[in-house]
Amino acid sequence: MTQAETVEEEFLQIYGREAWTDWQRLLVHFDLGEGFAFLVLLLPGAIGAKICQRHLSEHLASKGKRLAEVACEWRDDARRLPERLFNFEVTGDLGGVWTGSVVPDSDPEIDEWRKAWRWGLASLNERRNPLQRHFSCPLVLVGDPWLQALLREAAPDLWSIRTAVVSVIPSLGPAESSEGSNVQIEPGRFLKGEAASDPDYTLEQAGRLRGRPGMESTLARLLLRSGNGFYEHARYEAAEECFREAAETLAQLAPSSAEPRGDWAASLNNLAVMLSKLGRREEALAKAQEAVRIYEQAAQARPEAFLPDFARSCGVLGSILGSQGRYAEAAAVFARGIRALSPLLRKLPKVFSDLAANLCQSYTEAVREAGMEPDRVLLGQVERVLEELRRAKPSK
Amino acid sequence: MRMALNPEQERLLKRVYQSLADRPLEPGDPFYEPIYQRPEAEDPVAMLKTRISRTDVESLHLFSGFRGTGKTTELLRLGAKLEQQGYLVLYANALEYLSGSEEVDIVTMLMAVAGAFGEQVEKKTGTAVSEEGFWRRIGNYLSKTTLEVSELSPKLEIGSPARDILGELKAGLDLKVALKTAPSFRQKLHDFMANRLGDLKREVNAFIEEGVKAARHAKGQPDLQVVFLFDQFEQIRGSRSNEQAVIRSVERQFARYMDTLRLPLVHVIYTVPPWLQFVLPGAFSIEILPCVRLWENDRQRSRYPGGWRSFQDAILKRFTEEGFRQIFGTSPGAGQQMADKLIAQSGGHFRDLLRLFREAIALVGPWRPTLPITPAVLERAVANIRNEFRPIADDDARWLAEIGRRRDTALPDSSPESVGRLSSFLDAHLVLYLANGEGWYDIHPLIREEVEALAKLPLPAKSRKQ
Repeated sequence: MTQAETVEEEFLQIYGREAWTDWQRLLVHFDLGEGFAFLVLLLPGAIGAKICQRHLSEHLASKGKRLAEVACEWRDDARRLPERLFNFEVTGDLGGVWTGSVVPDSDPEIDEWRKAWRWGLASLNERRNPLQRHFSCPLVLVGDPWLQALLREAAPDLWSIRTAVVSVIPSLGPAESSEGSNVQIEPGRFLKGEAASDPDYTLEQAGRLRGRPGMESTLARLLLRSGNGFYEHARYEAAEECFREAAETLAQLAPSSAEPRGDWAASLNNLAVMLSKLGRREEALAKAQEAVRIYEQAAQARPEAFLPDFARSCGVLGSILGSQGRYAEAAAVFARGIRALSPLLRKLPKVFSDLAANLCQSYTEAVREAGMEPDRVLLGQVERVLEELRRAKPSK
Repeated sequence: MRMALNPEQERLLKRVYQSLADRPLEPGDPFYEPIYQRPEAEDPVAMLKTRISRTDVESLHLFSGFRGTGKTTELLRLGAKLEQQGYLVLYANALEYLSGSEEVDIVTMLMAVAGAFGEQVEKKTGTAVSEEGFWRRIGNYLSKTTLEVSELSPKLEIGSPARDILGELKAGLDLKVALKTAPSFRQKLHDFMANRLGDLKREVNAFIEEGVKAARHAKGQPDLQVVFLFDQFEQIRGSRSNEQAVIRSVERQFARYMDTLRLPLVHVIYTVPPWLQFVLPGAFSIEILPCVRLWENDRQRSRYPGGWRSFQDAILKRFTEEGFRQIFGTSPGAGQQMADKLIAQSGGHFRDLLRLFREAIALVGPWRPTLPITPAVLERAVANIRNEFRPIADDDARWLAEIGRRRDTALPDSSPESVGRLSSFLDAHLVLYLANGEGWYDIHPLIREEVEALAKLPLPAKSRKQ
């Protein structure tokens, strides 16, 4: 990555082009508005906040105004926010006041931070009208996305006079190189199960189990592994045959527990991917829908075990819909998958981060193609967890 | 191909953006749209005015409305109308005298009301109610009373309310500030005065009567009618840790002390939290300011043209006709159709209406710098504002879906917990209060689809509820 020369470049390197438009939404208020305004800026990461602060400072300087900061580095700063704001001397050249702190959910003292902000904002809530009178310029409150719900709850009067809430959501994955590129959402990223390193051998082993009552589940698992192995070797027809046989075998079992239903759905899920690869999209769609339905039922019985698979099957179904140009439907299905996965992602971020990132990226691509606006809160929830993971990993 | 805005268009956007700023409007403001005064609308202000004019000497009224519905604007309109009829109208902000986040008690409240009344009489007429003013007068009363108690009980221990209050008053305590900011002092005061409430009320009544006489004298009108608007009292609510206690305390004031809160020779209007009607149903009459009704209370939510016209006119006033044409296009009907997309999403909530249009204007420059505005900008504006309503917890979604279905609060009980949760829905505009003849509730159009979808979801993990 090249060294950024401007604030804009620095911002784009971290957050991407889409996020830059978000940030411009806040900036535009300083061009159009006048007098007091309460602007809320939500973004993951203190580094990004610093870049935004610097950019706003430069923007105001170009108009002969200055940006002042009421820093909140410590919890006590947040708790005492009202008195610190009211003690702040407003001068004629003041173009804006920047306050707040971006404390991620992963912070070991996050509960204490939340308490401090709750206290500070509740106190500020009581002095909403004097606050409006005190500042004749915009007040920017910056924080991690969790601040939105807390602000709404602890400071409802302040929240009710918000001028704008701007969520800067980083673009997930590498930025697209050009506008209007024809996006291919790859269903293969949502394949379920392990892959055999020698799929032919595994298929041979599976052959020994055919026709042996009571061995159907084992047979199906071997077929699944073989199919995944064939997929990795780009032998899609062979893979398709394996998955189809696995699905048909398990369909005859009339399963009473969730486990075989899960394998059945996995076979259908992977079969749908292969059919899509082979261009048989209508059949692929039908199989993917069936997989989603079965996983949904299984997840109701055992959510911890099957919600990830349900989310994965949403990934496949969404991808197939996307491949048919049905982007709005695809986006809705991806979003469903993300919602299902979110609680587990928070519990086990390392386990589900790849799946979550894939779903989010597919979702982002689908909404863009559909010309829709992404659900930034939904993406923000995932991005926060991923951001924390990235921060936790030492850079190589 | 993208076009850039010319300087004239930039100036237009700036002007419209500023005109869409949300602020209480003074009577006579050119942006004021009489949305509650149309023949087809409900006008709680007219109702209050009638009630006041029908009671000759004194009266007590409760007025309420949900955040952002224009309560203060309408209260100011009421004040202006009454002043036109010759009333002396005094206005005070309760939050300048009471803590907004702690329990309220009758002692503190009476003192706050009397103190505010005295200050407003002086401000409006230029005449002090008494030489010493209310705060010094009540301070003297407390000093005298606590001293008597101390003398009568020489063994009164340090830490007793009387001894402590006396000590603090002698040390020059600012009573007005202490009432608002010192919970421990309030507690001691309440403990000490609890069985002397009659005495305190007599002191307050005497002061108020003197105030009315002073105002009449200053204005040279012996029959002058005085109206006192005690606004923002409804904003007293706790934080999560004490919300239920605060709700109980406010409820207590009006359930037990309604008569105590009447003021002699004064028409007093308290703005109260709308949830009072949930915890004390039928206990008293509250005039509640509804959202503007854009749809009927029927299954398909069929369009109610009267409300639409109000909002269309209100927007036109802020844009001006020429500005509206430039921003939404000159094609007959098409521009209004586009603006209507935003009106539909406002839910009849005035603050949300302004916010939606403002967001659209803000997006033009950085996102689609061309006029007339494009449908994509409007869609994105709606999406951005919708994001401010999120996240919606699954449990909340189920309750909200029920409200949308039943068109009432679907309140399971009147416990502080349930009332607090419902209030937070109303505060955040997730739920809207509407009226045609009688009041009803519905969920905000911005969240309808999401609420329906969330409510149908299986319960994946109970931990989703924060």
